[in-house]
Amino acid sequence: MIDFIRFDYDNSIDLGFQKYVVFGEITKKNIQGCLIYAETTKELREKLRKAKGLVGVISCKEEVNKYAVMRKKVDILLDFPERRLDYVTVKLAKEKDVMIEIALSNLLSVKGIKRAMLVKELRTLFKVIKKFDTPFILTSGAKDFYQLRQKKQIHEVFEYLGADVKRSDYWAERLYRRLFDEKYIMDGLEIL
Amino acid sequence: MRNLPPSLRKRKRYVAFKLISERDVAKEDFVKALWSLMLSLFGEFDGEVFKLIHFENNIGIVACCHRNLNKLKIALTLIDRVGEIRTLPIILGVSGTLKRCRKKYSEVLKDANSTNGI
Repeated sequence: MIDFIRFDYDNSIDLGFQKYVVFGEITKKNIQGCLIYAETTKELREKLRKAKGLVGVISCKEEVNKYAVMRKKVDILLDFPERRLDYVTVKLAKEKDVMIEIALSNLLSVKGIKRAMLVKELRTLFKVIKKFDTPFILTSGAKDFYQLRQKKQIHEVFEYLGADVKRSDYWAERLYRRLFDEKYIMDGLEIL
Repeated sequence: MRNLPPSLRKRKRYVAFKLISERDVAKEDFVKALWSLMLSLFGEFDGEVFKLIHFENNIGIVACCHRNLNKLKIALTLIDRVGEIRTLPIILGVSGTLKRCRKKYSEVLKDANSTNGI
């Protein structure tokens, strides 16, 4: 299994993940991800030209997220508390095979009314994801060591909020095979 | 209510956990943090009443009703700060009896260090 984090972690504690993808920091011990922050579609288009590897996009604008989903280079829509997704984007993400990240660190970083709003949005998002069977991944999204959590702990929290944990495992496994299994070509096609 | 017949008693679960932090956390601070989180997440009506059975050297056991086990686990997961100390809570496991919980997890913890994952 695979986890997306925002800092370079030295794997000192076994938390149930096989690999970590680091977005936003340079890493040598883990897998390097490419994080793109954009506020306009134009900015995103320009930044995507230079992007390589596993590309993740964060944006607080719905239209930018929608545009990101339609671009071939984008692999993941990364999560942060101000991210806004609409119904159409989630539907498009399924069609374009773009993964949606749902991170636990958001629940840790906000409190009170903001957390209640976030939980409400998460419940709705899980419903829409279930409806379209959109690829999604449950991660820690940790910005530092103390925001890391065990895989089963992350799953328990999101299962309570309505996530289909088994389906998330399937998508995570698929991404892991795409990145590390040389025999894997695409779903249903692999070298024997 | 005390002395309930066995059929009316609630089944218990014992959750063994460990806190990873810069320095040792005080027992009172931990209970306070867990209660405040439980009440803010689930409220007074739906919140789970738990009992801290054991807490020493950042390792502890909490008892709760088996039906609300997931609520306690969620509250434990979402603890990120006890007092002023930042913590990383790790749930080691759940057991149906205290004896088994102590045997299974406390003995393992004697040899624990940061490299063996506990």
